[in-house]
Amino acid sequence: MTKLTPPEPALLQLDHVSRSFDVGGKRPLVAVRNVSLQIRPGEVLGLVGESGSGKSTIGRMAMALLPPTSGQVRFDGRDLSSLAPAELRRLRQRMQIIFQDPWGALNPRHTIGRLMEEPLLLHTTLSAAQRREEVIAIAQRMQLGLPLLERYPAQLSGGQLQRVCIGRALATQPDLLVLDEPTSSLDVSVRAGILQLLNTLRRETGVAMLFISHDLETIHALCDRVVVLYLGCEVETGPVDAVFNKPAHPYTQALLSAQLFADPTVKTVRQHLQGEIPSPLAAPPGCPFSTRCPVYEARCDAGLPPMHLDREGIHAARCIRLSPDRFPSLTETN
Amino acid sequence: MRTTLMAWLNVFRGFPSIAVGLVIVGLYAAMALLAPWLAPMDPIAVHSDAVLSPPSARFLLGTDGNGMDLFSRIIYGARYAFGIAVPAVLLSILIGVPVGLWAGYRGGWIDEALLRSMDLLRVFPSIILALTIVAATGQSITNVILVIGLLDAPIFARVVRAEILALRGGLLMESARAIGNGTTRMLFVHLLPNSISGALTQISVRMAWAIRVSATLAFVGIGIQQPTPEWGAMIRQGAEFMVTGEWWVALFPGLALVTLIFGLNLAADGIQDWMGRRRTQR
Amino acid sequence: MSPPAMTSAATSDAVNPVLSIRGVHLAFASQDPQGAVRRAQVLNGVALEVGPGRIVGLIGETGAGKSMTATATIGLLPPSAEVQGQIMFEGVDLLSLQGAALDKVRGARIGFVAQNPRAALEPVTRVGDQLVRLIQAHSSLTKEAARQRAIAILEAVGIPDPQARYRAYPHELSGGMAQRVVIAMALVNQPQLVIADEPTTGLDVTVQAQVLDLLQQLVRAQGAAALIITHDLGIVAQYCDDMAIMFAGRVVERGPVTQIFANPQHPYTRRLIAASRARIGNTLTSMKSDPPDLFRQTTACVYADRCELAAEVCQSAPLEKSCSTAAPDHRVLCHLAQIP
Repeated sequence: MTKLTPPEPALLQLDHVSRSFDVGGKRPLVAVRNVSLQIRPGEVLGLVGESGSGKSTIGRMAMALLPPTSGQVRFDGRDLSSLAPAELRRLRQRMQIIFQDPWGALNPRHTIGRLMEEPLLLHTTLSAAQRREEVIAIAQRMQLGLPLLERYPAQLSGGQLQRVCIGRALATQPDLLVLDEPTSSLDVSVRAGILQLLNTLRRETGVAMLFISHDLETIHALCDRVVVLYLGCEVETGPVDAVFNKPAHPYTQALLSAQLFADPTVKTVRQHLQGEIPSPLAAPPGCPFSTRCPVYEARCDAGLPPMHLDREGIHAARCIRLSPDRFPSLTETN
Repeated sequence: MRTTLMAWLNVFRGFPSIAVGLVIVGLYAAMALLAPWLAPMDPIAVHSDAVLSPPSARFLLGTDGNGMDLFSRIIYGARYAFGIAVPAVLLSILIGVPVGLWAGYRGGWIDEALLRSMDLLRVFPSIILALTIVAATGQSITNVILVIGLLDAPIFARVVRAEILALRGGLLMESARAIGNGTTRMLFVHLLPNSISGALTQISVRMAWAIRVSATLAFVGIGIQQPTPEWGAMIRQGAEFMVTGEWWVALFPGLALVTLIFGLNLAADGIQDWMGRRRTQR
Repeated sequence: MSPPAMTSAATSDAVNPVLSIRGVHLAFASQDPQGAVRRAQVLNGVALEVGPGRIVGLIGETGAGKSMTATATIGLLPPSAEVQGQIMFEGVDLLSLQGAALDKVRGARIGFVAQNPRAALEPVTRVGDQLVRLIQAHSSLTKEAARQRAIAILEAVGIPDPQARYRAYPHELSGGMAQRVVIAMALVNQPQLVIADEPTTGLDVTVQAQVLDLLQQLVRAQGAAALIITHDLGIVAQYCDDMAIMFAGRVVERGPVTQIFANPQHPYTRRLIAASRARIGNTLTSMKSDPPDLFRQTTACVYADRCELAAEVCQSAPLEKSCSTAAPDHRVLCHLAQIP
């Protein structure tokens, strides 16, 4: 019996979800390969990976912006692809997404005030005056000066715009927030402010989050649990402290060792990986990490390794080279 | 109000072609609107005592083969120019823009049909096409307007479609959908305003084209007939008299036509430059 | 492999620096939508040095002027740029060089690693041919000898099967591979100085570490000096010997990496370091987050309106050339820095 699937219904659940794209060649591009994950209400799950990991695609599937090629995406128990368009639209007030590029995501011809009002206009029956009041309240919570409401996106900085996006996303008090690299295009000194804001909001509203990033430090600071992705597969999952302090999968270990700390006195021992991430079009047949793994052996090509579970049943990794002492059982969700 | 006026003046300063073009077009538009007050005589009044008389104090630009005052006829001619061009372009927009919107947004058979029809149109020289259709369907101003309007619609559709395809590659549509927009709002609140600038630039160009085509049709003898004071028809009549030395009958309507088309194209070029500059300047 | 001259108390100034940027001002005039002419002061008295064999990290955020400093150094400024000051390299002021004289320096004495490898490499020429062209432009080697040198450097930068990859086009290479080729091109003529402008942008985390390790190793092996421009303090902390922090066109603090991290003097440096570490729990949110207005012409401190230490003097008094701290090679541009 596994404890990876919690007894109470998850808010967001992905069951054996895969997604391929037809790119005109002989083989389709498999962006996501048999990924299962869940987020409980109020929980923050981190999705870590580099390019080709499929993390952005998973984020979009969670938001029903893309349907899965196989598997199911459930929100609050309901299968998203089975919903009628009108139902799905109504459901969107409970889940929102924040993208990496705030300028691209906002209509450049609308004022900030109008942009922030839009979700209220779409999903509530508030009058124009009430909406205006609500927008002002949100702007204040996001620490955006009121004069900004009359401006256009092009006139704001990246940090301010991202706050607008967050405010907009929270306007309908959603249960789930998907954040796709929300701070990657922002300056370092601005990032801290945004992350602090997210942390505060999380504490105050109890919103659950799917936080997608390649930045390990941010994930470690903000998330409860983390899923590590490589070439569309989950390779490791568990509580963030367990995964980051005692990484089990060779890829996670390499990833952590490649971190560059802003402290010259801390020198990590770099694990040198051979080569680079293979193209998703040419994914290895067995373990996706087999081409670069320092502990690779012939067995690894046999097929996608199953998820091995640790003794407490909360930390799992997809590798056949794990110590059976530490990871004795297999999960039932294979 | 004052700031928008200042903004416009600055645009004109940076792009004099827009200013000059618009002034020319404006003058002609005024001519068209105020024709009854501006024209000294009735354009179709026959002065049998002064047939083919050269420019004088009485007939500022001379008279034509029927003894009608050229000056008045040219002023009234502006009404026909605009009266054909404006409805024709409006028709093109009303058909073309929604088709382009849908083709870009949904693709599918509308997109295919649009692309094929564009290809088809490209095969034929459009003036010949217009000529044939009008000649076949009947010689009225309405038909001229309809034909020009329909033939130009795909251009507007293509221009809008191109901009929507560009938007599809970005985050705007995904973001709008994620917030909960339905198709109607997506099309008219988010996509249309952001894909219309190409179409706006086309308006001036297509108007110049419509005027040219209608004048050509009249010149060839299709569509508008005598004694209607339309410039193309006037040039047609005047062409006969060039050889016998009555140069003014063809020249002045010709100049009127060329100047208006020039003004429209100048304004179009200027607007295109201005829009291009605006996009790169942030 | 440690850099030379670390133990002695000799500063980079006492030993002749490889690159010495002195008082460089750079402005661009532009027309705003209303038609008025405005001048953006992109560099406002930049001063920094790269000592022999040292790797210097130039760090700053958007609009700080770090890329512009590199652009000015290798002579790629547009004709409309208004530039003053000196950039001394091997006894010559680079800002005064033009044409053939500048070409002799670029690519041979100074190597440049661009931010975007796809932009730096010619898409229609094979990678090997580009290297050979670069080699032959600055030496009298025969085509065959140049080819051998090219293959050798491709191997040195860790490109597998260099004989075959020699014939590859840039688009056939992955991001990491392409960046290695760019590094090869920067180093093939054994330059005295390597300038790398955000060399790992767009590269994956695991590849980033590989590329930086490689760059550091090759630079040290050749005994060259390097200037790495980045916005990532992690890169500076792990790979650089010295660092210079830029804000709004000025170098606000510079000195040895260990010293600055241990004892940052400028409020902006402190803020950057804090922001790069544990992200939650800092009380930083009240700071102005937009980039500085480069159109504001002032000789006083531009950081003052967002500085927690700002005093009356900061808004009004012109910033002097520099104020030193205890260590002679640790300089701070701040009215309120501790001056012993």
